Amino acid sequence: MVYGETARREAELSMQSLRLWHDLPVSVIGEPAMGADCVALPQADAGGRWAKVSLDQASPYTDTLYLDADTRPHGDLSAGFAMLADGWDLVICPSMNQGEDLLWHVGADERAATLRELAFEPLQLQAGVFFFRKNERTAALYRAWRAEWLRFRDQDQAALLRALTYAPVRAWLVGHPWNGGALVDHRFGACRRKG
Amino acid sequence: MWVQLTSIQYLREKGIQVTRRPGDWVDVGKQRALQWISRGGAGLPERTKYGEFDMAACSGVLILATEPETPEAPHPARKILEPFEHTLEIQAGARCLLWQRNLLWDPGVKLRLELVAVGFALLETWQIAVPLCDYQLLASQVGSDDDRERTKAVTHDLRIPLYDTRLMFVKACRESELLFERWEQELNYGGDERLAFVRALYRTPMLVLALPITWTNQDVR
Repeated sequence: MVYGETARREAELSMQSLRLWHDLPVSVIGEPAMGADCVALPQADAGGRWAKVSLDQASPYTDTLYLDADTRPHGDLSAGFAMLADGWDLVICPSMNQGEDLLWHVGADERAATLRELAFEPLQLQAGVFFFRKNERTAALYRAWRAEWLRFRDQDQAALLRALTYAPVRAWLVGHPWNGGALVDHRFGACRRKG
Repeated sequence: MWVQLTSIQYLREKGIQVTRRPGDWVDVGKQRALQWISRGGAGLPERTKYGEFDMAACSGVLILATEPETPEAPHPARKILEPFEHTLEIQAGARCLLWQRNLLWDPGVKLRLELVAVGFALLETWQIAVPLCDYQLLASQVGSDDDRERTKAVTHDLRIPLYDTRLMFVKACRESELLFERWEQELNYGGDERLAFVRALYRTPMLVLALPITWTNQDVR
């Protein structure tokens, strides 16, 4: 997702890194960036979260690898697509923030509402890198994710956890190297910094 | 209470008038919410009320044990399950699916009794709910070279988390029965049990809910 100069620069660096390993078609959502097709989508919120929860509509691909602009792939990511091909709907990594740090970055109201409504302590997922396949289950998940995100219009992770209770999918978990580790480096928050 | 609007409403939030549109979720007082709902201006989310969940219906706990128990020598872990003796079926024995909704529990891991009803309720949505072993531990870090190679041939990548199969909630269904058959096959190869489970699960795409390690009493706040 590209909204603004910092995000554009980060996305171009991410694509450069990806290109060392893959010759996949790449699209950015929002504003144009060099080396990618652009799916124009007006910015609806400061963090570009609306674009993320609308990926099923915005992505031109059946199987999509979503990467936050501030990620840097450092290896072959094709296993994620193979996992989709083997029948999994979503391939995603648990967050490193669990237990006391669960949803620490989410507003207090949303965090409280999420834990109250789920009625259990969930495993937080990190939605900065993930693969998904378009099908009826992921379409339902995205509908629910949008509806849940609209309630607070803030971060996307708590909304995803709530959405999964309405619209569960076949989710295969990958480990931390895939998001914020050796395989995909994640410069968390780089797009928010002014450059 | 939270309601989802099906009409435009003008609210005051932190002293400022705001417009909320159809599809928006708002948290308002109960009277107002019920008034909107009665007029068709808002709806309630349909959620499982975990506290009201009826555990008794076709639900049971299987205490994982290598030795069969007898009436004269019941499994000692039954004592821990005493709060549920009138609401849940309880058996001890080898891993299998005996009921529509199953809790498979190895008494080697401490059971958090307050999560039992929640776990069964999760099976309204998911086919299996199982905690992770650890947030850092990956399949690439356990087992022998052969074992890891066999696993990678199935899962494509070993940088994946492992599940703690000492505690799992399982709905009896075609996929879970297939999972258990495959798990048994994988265990026959020998090697690390956690890798065997990962291979079996990977080959059986299903609605699996991974739970945090607090479910096995690790890192509990």
